[in-house]
Amino acid sequence: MQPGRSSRRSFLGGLAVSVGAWTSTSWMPALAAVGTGNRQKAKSVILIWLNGGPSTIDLWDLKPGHDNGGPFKEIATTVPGMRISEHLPNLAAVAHEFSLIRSMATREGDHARARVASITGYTPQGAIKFPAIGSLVAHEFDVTNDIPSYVHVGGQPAVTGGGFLGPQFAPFVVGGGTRRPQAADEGAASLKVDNLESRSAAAKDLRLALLEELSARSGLPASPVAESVVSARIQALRLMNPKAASAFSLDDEPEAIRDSYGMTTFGQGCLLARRLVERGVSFVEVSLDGWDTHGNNFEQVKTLSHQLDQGVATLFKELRERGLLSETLVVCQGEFGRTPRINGQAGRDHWPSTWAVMLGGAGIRGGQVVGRTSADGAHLESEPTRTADLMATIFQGIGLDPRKQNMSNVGRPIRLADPDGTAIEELV
Amino acid sequence: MASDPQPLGRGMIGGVACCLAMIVAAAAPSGRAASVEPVEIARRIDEHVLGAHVALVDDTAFLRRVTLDLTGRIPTVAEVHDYLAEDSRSRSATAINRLLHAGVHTRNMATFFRRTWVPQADTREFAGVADPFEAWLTGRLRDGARYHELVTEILTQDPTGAQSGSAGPWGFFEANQGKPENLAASAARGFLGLNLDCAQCHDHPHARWTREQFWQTAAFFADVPPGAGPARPGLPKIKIPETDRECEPVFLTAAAVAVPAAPDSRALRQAFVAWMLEDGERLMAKNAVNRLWSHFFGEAVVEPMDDLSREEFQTGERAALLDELADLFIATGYDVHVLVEGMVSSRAYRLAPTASTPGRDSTPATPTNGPAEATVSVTADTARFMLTGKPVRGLTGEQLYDSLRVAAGLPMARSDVGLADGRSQRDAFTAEFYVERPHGAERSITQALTLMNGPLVNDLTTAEGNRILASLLAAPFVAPDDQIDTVFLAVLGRHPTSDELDTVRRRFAGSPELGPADRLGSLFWALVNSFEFCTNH
Repeated sequence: MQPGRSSRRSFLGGLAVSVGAWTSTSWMPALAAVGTGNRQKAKSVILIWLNGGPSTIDLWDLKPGHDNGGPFKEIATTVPGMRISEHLPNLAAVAHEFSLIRSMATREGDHARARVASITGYTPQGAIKFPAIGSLVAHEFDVTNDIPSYVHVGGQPAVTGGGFLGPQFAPFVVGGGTRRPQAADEGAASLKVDNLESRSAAAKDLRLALLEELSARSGLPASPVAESVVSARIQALRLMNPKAASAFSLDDEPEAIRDSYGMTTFGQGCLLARRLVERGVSFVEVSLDGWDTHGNNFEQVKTLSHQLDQGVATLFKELRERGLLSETLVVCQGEFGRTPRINGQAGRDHWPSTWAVMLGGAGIRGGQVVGRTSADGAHLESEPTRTADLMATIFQGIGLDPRKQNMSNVGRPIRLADPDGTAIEELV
Repeated sequence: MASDPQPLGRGMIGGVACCLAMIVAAAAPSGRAASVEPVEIARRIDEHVLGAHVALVDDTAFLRRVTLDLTGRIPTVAEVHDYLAEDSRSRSATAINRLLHAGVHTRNMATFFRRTWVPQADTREFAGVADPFEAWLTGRLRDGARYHELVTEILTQDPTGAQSGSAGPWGFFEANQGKPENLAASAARGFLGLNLDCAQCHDHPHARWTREQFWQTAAFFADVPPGAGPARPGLPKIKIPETDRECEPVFLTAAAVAVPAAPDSRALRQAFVAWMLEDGERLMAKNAVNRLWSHFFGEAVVEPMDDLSREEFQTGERAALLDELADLFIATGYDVHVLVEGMVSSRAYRLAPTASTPGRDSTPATPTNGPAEATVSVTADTARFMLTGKPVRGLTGEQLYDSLRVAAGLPMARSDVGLADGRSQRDAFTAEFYVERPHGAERSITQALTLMNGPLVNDLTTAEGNRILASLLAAPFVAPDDQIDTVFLAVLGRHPTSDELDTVRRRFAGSPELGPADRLGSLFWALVNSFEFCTNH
């Protein structure tokens, strides 16, 4: 036996269990499932990612009457005293389901760095490959599922791999994702998962049998690169299970429900997120791009607000109706906020110093407003909330200990959330 | 080249007087004699990194590895046959020589250098700049251009001369949007192996480079309005954002090069290049060596590759190797050809693949049969640098696409003959299979689905789309075992083991409902989806 082969075998085993169930061959070795032990009940997170840095001063923390406020008006919500943008009327009607953090204060004002910091909870340091929060949540709950446990919908994930947790916990990207230009909004069609079916019904079994048997005979040593090829293939095969693949068939939903989310890529992405958490997926990111509004901020934010409002308000309603909201945490944020001062192009620039996050659902007290900004929106009049605090809040909300450690690629244990952070008292 | 003597430059910036040294011509390196032979480079590499007992890769695996690294594709069936028919004592040298002079080698290196210098072209926003830049590089490399000539031409180009879509080095300016701060950061990273990004916004207490130095470097890329020489008001000034401080161009390290007194924007950049060539730390040569090393060996000598000036990298075995190779590279007159031939001719290059790479430790939960040897003694002990094996690398999108075609007996899609269409399939595929660092490549589920069920691979599993299969099926006298053997040679570049042959025979026999075309197509499908095909090992 080759050195390293046994590790690959057992690695394969953990993933391979259910593939044989839907193919007619018996080539997959019948290895016992890796015991998942007695973990706490798995919960899910849906991260609504507002890519580009949303103008939260025009969404969640308006400054009407001030020069920095711009043309948008505030409206009342179902929560007394919590007022949000007039362009979010449907969210205003479900405001008791969520809370606002108006005291976000972070350091990174560059898109790429801020994205990585927001999505990993850590400032990049040296060789440590910090995983995305989606990978961390997927890894902690370790749900046995033919659908990948971390799915990114409609954009490009800030961290493409699984970081130090390995390739099994990398995001599965649906829609978007390409590094080459594509049409702006192809509607729901772009959320289709391509290539989910074998193109050769007749030879499918022979193909798979040859692939598995020859791979098992390979004389090559195990390596992370080879492991990742095998891991992706096995996850792909499991996803080809028609039952798993059907999670992505939005056509199975009644037309009225599809319409209620809005027939945009983002709206349908929210619907897809609901379908995925119903099927046990641990972490879903739904990306809405276009928030980098250096010019013509208000027109763009208005348009984006309509999409956001319809998609996310319907998501809250449906999760509540289906009894899923108590086990699903919805978080809505981007990489930073935008300057309170309006620039010469009626735009707003990058602003990490004061911004806002909306979140609600599992483990989070709804109807709260955390923190306060000054009348011009440029200063905090309360304690700052850092990314680490937000991370700790999210982990605690879904029942995970933010101090739990995982071994990193540099041999140093790393906690789920940076230990500098503490969960926000008013919310958990 | 900025080889004219320049007047003495003097910068008084922020209270720090920087006296640049005396007038010296910033000429091309004098060591044009090319007295350094590749075999000398190979010998020095082996002296540095090899222990007494090393296991080398077998013959056909070497051919596959070196063909992938030099030409970006796997060897053809004919190349494997020819190789095995040659004298085993000399065939590897013959193969290296043949590959180094193949047209695809030039194109492969053009992609490598473009990715090093204009990595932005691998993003959506700047995807369009890749083709003209690589076409230009391919032509220049074919003409025998030296490394420092390429760098000079990129940095001292007239960006207003850019013609959209035509071959040229424009991509460097386009991808940096012509902004001095972007150009400075990209030049430092791509040509010198320095990361100045942090210094752009603030002074870090432990970093070597200050914010002022960043903007002094950026000032070399300032846009000087055209005007008469004598009337020009001295050196351009560039303002540090959100401060009242202004910076004039000053070199990062002392060198016997002067900034011209009243330069136009091109003369400024010429002075910058002259400084890079004269820089006492030889960062330009070290960066070239380090990045080429990572192309051929996986992990670079110094990681991260854009932090060459870090203090702990200045001593120890890694620094010594980089120093020596940089000296040799300069002595060849910056001849990439000689350096590359030296690297692939070394025994270190031929090391057998090892069980793990230092990038990511597998979780210790799974017991292994044997102790996984670390490829390189890294991190904690930066002083030591010994190679005991070669990390397994993922194929880049380009390597995977071109290799799939070669495995099916099809000609490679050409990009060196113009920028016409017909390449959209390759572009889409390589974008989907983009790999940042091959030794840390991670395959995604989407990629796995594309390889298993996508139209490209499935076309190649039919006799209509696969010339190898077509010829095997059309020839009545080829025995079934020889058919299997040929598919293995075409896809994996080696014969099947007897165990593998038995497996395939047994599985074929167990599928009597399938004809020979479906069977061989299935074998092709299974082999291209294997990790042996998808990696360079």
